Formats: sequence, C-alpha cells, structure tokens
Amino acid sequence: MQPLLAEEAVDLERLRRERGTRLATAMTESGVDALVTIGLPNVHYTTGLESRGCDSARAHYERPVAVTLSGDPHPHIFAPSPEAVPEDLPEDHLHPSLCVETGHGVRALAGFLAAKLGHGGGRVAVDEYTAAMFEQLSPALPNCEIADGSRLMAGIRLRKTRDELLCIRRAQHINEQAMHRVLPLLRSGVHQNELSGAFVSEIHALGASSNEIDPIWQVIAPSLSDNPFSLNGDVPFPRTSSGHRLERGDVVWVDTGITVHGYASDFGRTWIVGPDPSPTLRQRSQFERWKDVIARVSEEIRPGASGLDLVRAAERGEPTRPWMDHFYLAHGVGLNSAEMPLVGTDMGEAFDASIELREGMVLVLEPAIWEDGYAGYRSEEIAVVWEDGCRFLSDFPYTPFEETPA
Amino acid sequence: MSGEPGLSSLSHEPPIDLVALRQERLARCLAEMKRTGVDVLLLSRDSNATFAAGSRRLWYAGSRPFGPTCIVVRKTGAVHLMTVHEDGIPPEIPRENLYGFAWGTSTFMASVMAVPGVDEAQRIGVDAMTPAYARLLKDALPQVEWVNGEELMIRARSEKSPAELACIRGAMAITHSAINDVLAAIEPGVSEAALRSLFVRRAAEYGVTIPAFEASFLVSPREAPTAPSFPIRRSGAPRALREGDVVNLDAGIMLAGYEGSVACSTVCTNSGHSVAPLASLAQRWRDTMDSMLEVCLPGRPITELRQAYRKSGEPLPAMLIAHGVGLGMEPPIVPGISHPEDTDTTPLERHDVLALQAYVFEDGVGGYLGREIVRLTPEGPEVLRPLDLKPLSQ
Repeated sequence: MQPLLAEEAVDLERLRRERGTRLATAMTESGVDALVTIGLPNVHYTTGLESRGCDSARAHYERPVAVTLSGDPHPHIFAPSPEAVPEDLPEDHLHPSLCVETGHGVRALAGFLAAKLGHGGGRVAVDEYTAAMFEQLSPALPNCEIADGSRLMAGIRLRKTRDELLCIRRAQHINEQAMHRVLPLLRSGVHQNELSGAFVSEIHALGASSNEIDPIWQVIAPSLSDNPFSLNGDVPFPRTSSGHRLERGDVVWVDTGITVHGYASDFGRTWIVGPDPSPTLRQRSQFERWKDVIARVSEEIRPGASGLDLVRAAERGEPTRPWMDHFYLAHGVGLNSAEMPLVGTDMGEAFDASIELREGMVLVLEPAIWEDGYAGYRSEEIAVVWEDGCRFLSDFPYTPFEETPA
Repeated sequence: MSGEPGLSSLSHEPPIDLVALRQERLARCLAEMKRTGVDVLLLSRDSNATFAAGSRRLWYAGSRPFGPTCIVVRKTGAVHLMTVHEDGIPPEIPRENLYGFAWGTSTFMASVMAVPGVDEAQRIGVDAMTPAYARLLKDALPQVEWVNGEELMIRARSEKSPAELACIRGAMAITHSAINDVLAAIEPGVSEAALRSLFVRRAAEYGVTIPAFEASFLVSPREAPTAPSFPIRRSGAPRALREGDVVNLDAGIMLAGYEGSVACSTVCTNSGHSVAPLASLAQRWRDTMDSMLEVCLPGRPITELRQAYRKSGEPLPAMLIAHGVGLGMEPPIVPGISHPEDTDTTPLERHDVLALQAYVFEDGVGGYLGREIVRLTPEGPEVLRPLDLKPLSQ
C-alpha cells in the first residue's frame, strides 16, 4: 500500500464502494442470500449511514435497520433519518423506519424478507437479535435458514481499506489535538468532570463526529489494597469519572475515544497531576519498561506474524504478563473502539496463535506495567500492519516522562 | 442532589433517596417476573441493569451486542453482576454475587451457569441476543423456554415513581440550563460546532458528562428536498450561522441513568431581523402540539397521537412524534411516517412519561422543531418544564 500522505483526505464515495465490494464477496463466499444488520457499526458498514451518537437505549429504539440482498449493490435501509442516507441510494431502497424491538416491527421485517426471497426462501444472516427478533424472526420465516451474520461482518471489518485507515488517523489526530488543550488543566484541584467537559468541548470544535466513551481520568492508588476490590486481583481499571477532585502528584490513567465518520480513536496515557509534575525514578523506570515492551512488540508486527509472536515479545524479560488480566496486549479498532483481532486475552495461546496478522489490520497496543506499592504506567499506541512492518497512527508525547511524541 | 447550578431551580424539591429507589425498582422487576412466570432474567442493556441493580457502568455511545452481564433470579430475589471491580456496585449487592468478565465464551458461560437458580430455571427472559450466545445458551440449558425479557423490563419500568420523576426533572433542568446558555450565544458568524462545544462544557459544569444523544444546534434547511428525503438537518458537517437562519436546538443528558431532553427553535439575528415568519411557524407547531396533548390520556390508543398530529393540518414528519422517557428512550415508539405493517395500537395507560415532538416546515423559511415532556394523569397531561425556556415562552 502507498504511504498515507500527510494531507490526504477521506474519500467517502471510495470508502463506501470498497466496503460494498468486500461485503458482496463475503456474502457470495458464505452463501448468504440476505444479510440483516441492526448493530450500529454494522449498519454503518453496510449502508454508509452515519447515525448521530447517542445513549444505548436510543440506539436500540431509534435505530436504522439494513437488509443487503445478494447480487444487489445497494442495501435496503429502514431509516429513522432519511435525509442522512447516501445520495446515490435508489429511492425504492429507502423505507420508513421499523422498530425491531416490537413484534409488529419484526413481522414487518420478516414480510419484507419473504417478499424479496420468494417462495424458495434462502439463507438469512443476522448480526444481532433484539429479544423480539430472537422470539419471532425464525418462526416468521419458515422457509429460511437463519445464520450468524456477526462472523461475516467481523471478517470483512478485520483489514481496513485506505479510507478506513484515514478515518481512524483523523479521529486519533483530533483526539490528540484536544488532549494538548486539556493537559494544561491537569492541576491540583481540577475535577474529573471539568476535564471531560473541556475534552468533549474541544473535540467538537476540532470536527469530531461524536464522543464515543465517557472520558476516563482514573486516579490510581499506589497499592492494589488501596484501590477498589477487583475480582481478578488486577488493577480495577477502568472506573467511571465523577466530580472527584485531583491532587498534586496523583497518578492518572487517561482513556478516551471519539469518532470520525463512525471510525474510532483510542487515546491512553499515564499522567501525573501538576503543577510541574516530575516523575520519581521508580515511575520513570516503569515508563522505560513500558516503552521497551512497545518496541519489542512493534518489531514483531508484520504480515504473517501471529498474535502469539506479539505476546511472546511482550513477555520477554518481564516477571508477569505486562498488561491487565481482564484486557489484552492489543485489540483492533475501527467502527468499534475495540474489535477483532484481540491479542493476549484469556482465550489462551491457541487462540493467539490462530491470529495471523495481515496488511491493513489495526492494532491498539496497550501494555501496562504495575509495581504494587508504586502504582504503574499504562499508555496506548495505534499501529497499522504494513507490508514491511508497522506504521503508527498515534503521535502524542509521553508528558511528563518524555516530551517527544510516540 | 443539591448544590449543582443546573439543579438550583429544583431546590424546593426533596433530595432523591437513591437507596429507596433501587429497592423499589428491584421489587417492581421481581413482581413482573412473578406475574409472567419468569424464573431468571439474563440482561445486557444498561437501562435494564440500572433498573434491576442500580450499578453505575462506564458509558459508551451506541449499542453493544448482547452478553449476560446482569442476572436476576426470582427464587432468591438476588441480582448478580458481571464486573471487573466493586466501584459503582451498590452496597446491597454482596461480593459473592459478582462474577468476572471473560473473553472466552466457555469461561464466561461457566460463571453464568454457576449463579444459583440458573441451572434449574424453566423460563428465562433475555433483553437481546446474538447468534453465538443463542447457540451456547440453548446447548447449556436445553429445558428452558426463552421469552422476551425486554418487554418484561419495559412493563416493570413504565410506571414512574416520584423518585424517578425527580431524576427526569433534574436531567431536564440541567439540559434547560445549558440550552439557555446556548441560546444566549446564538448570533451570526458562530459555528454550529461551537454551540455544541458550549453545551457540553456547560453541562459538565452542572455536573453531567453523559449525553442522551449528541446535542445538535443546526440551521434548518430553507428549501424542501425531493421526497422521500425530509427537510431537516440532524447531522452533517457544521456550518456557520447567518442572519435570519432558523436554528433547531436539540439536546439531552442522562442523570442517574434518566433522560431529560429539550428541543426548541429560534431565529439567529442581531439586527432585528423580522421574526414574523418564525412566529407563524411557532404557532403552527403550538397547534400541532396542543392537538396531540388533547389525546394524551391513559387508555387512549397510541395511534390517536398520529391522527391528532394530522388533524392539525401538518404532514406527519420522518421522525418520532412521541416516545416514552425514563432510563433513556422507552416505548411507546410512535413514528410520524411509519412502515405500513409496523403499527402499534397499545393503549397509553402504562406509559407515564412521554416526549411529544412536532416539526413544521415552510418552504423558503425553514422548519420549527420543538418537544414537550409530559406526564400522563387521568385529569390530562402535565407538562414538565422546570425552567423558563425563552423561545417557547414568547
């Protein structure tokens, strides 16, 4: 792939076209006649429809529903916001919204599928069910086989197109620009909500599509025993933010995410509350160990490497696995803030070994170094698997440990 | 719940007893399980987990696929929660009722099966499902009859207690306060993005960072596009406001899990631009809203809302004209333009708090968007409007 140019902009039309091609190929390969998507990221992928960011309850009850038919380049969209569908969608593919949380809505969806598939029925893949779909969709389609559409979608979302990478890069850039403006506020007496308000305010001014997660500014106590009880004995991260006031010297684990055209950023850093914070020698050595893990892992990233190769590289020389037990060493990012591939999870070595890195995959590396009694260091970097190794999309300094960007 | 600037308008109200609220909600959930013969609920949705357990979860935008992260067992009356740690877990839920998260579905299923009462359940309600969990659960529990747990939870949630109403009013007060700040900032040259920035900053100052949806302060289109599109802007690249633009303001936040939202419209002017065209739109909006308010009575079928909207002479819009309000958006969901086969004729009696929305458009002028939040009572709808909102009071 050609290098991503500094000023290169997202080509939304090419993005939709290339996603459509991947979708059509996958549907043919898996013998799917109709694909029903109701999960917002999947609807976004199959239709190009950008939904306004919202709370989950609203996402359930006011969501677009998409039906992609084999051999038809355009999806059918049951859209709550018809003005937001791509302009090239044929008029007969745009339908009034359907509420698939209710029996009426599910029966209307089944009626539509039955009419399109005809008497012979067919293979209908579904990415998720509402409770009403789980109860009523299969009985309403007696001639159809219902298949798992989530695997199909996860498969085609694994390797990113050029425009998907550009979207993620843009999201990460906006996220980091906003953080440059928030960092000076990290002084004794500031409360978490103030930082969140400043951050979300900045991302909108900078052109983000939406905020993806309530920002995390978690104060980490030096010892596990001084943090809230965690079920696996690891660091109780992440915790929700509140009106909690930060104090000078607090170690703060930051985690935020925003979207651009649906694609997510992932920003993670360890900060120390100022003014003029200066890490201790111990804190500096944690940071150096973290940097070494990143260096060892990124050296292994290339097409053909396995997830287990990354795990082994991260573990080398460390007394325990240098990441949190309930998370992973690395996760993908795209239309979800954490998606496949997941590397270093509790699914074990065989699963990690089964992950083959391929060009265009995106990995968020999030090792964490913990020294009980002295807290720890955790930050995140976004790496793209490139033909000859990896390229980083993140570019933020390790303040106050080091002032040069990643 | 006092001391926050946005809530000062509610200072005469008693503080919300969150402990009593949690007890009362779980009791309503268990009563609905008893009534419908459901032994166990496997819940994944934030709104349902908040109702059954009262736990505080990290907020993400949009929907997540199903996973059994909150389990309610009727026989023991216990709530079991998936969590990484104890922060945000109410004290009445003992540590032994917490189970850890696992990426491996077999490990995770073992935790679910270990919850006392799950393996002997005959009827289990789920609030959503994925194809993968459908296979796993049906294999692990072949004897079980699977039922619609979302519907069960919605029934349990529909009647709002005084404490729940106080949460909704609080959320509305914060939204109103922040929207009033946005209204004061509207002038030619200001960008739509800057108004959104201002709203989230003000809401955070009032103590809330969780939105019900991305706030939008958008210039209404002046010309109608061709059908089936619809002459409204609800998203898209931000523009700068110009003299004489009609601006639709729409925002909402979540307080203790409860939604409070406001929508209204105004004209952008600092040179005494005539507001006459907007005044006429506002009047048409008021007539449409009044027509809907007339049928907002317990027992009336929700289809009457659509008839009432049309009776005012306005075409039905491509947006919801009504929806329930509680732990976020709830049924009834009443679309303006709807799919012909997707018609809900449920009576309104169960639904306590409703958002009513109307949008009236005039070619060459723009569109007027507005919303009223009402509580149904046998005597008629009570409009919940804790603060003075300038455009509506004109």
